[in-house]
Amino acid sequence: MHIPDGLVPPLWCGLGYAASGGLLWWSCRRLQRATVDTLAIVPRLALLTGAFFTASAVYIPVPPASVHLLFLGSLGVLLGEGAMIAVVVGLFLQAVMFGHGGLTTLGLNALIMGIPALVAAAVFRGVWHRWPPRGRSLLGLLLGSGAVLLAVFLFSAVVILSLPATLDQQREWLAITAIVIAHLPLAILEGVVTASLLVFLAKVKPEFLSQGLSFSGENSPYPTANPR
Amino acid sequence: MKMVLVSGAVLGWMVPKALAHGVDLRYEPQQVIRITAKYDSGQPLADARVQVFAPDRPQAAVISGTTNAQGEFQFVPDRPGQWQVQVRQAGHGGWLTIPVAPQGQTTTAAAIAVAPRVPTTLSLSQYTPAQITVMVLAVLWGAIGTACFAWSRRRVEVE
Repeated sequence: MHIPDGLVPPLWCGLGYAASGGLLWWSCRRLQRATVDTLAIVPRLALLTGAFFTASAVYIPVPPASVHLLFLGSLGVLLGEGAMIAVVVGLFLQAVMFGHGGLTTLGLNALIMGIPALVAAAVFRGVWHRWPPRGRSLLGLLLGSGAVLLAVFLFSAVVILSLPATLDQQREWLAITAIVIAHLPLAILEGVVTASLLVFLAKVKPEFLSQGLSFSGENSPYPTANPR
Repeated sequence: MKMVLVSGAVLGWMVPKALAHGVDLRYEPQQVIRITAKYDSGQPLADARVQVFAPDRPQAAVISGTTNAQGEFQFVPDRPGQWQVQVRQAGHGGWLTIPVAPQGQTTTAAAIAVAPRVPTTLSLSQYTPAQITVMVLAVLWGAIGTACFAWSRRRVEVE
């Protein structure tokens, strides 16, 4: 679900870079304002970026093509605004090493993956404290599946809107419908993964989830950082 | 005498007609370029839109068509130079640059010299599982290293 080089007009690529650059700047600014200690988020950011990159190498064969894991909902839940940074770095590595997407379309792909992660973060932040504990798995399912479906929708929208007039629109619509259907099992799988993650962390380390909401200087994200 | 003249006239009128039933068959060997489009998984990119751009006309496609069930498409280049081919289907696909040598030279030799016959677009299917594992581990090692570096710096600052 990455747009490769050469299929989108240069203007779209430029707009993609401008929009994702702005979103990245906004994310960094928000993180900087939310925490006194900017180093606190770096370890989590680095590890989850690595996980996001690794997930892209895990293939799930769904005819006609194959899909790979995204973990966008989980990134949003665990990183908040930092999800955008993880997505941009992860996508750059995927483009350079695996050929997933391209460097000219990195901005567009960052928007396609970054916006769902940020939406998941915003929804999680808004409802987590008010959400009944028994329904946590449902929230995880909604966030995980919703993020994938939103990413598929954005991908389809970019592809359809940037189609040249010379192409057979109906044929492309059919092909895009097949791609959307192929991603439905992935959406369910990611929903289950995010739900399991939420339930597990809520039981074992609830403060890990609340740190995803806001990185305040008062609550240290890492207990080992506190001198004893 | 009259009979001979009439017969000659009739034959003269009929012979060209008879010759018109003959068929002139010739052959001319031509270079055919065959493109194969596949997903990373090895599944063919069937029924994908193909546009072929001539070396001197990069703006408008001179040949258009679709791939077959095996993800293949063939075309005959009519002039030497760098031919551009775009294959796309639902946001997947890519570009291919095919060097075509002038008539009389073997395109294959020129193509190998200019562009080795490997996939021009980077793809995960190019790598062996061992190579993919090493790449993933290298990135993970970098991520863990970054995490440890930030963690240790922070601990020093706190202490």
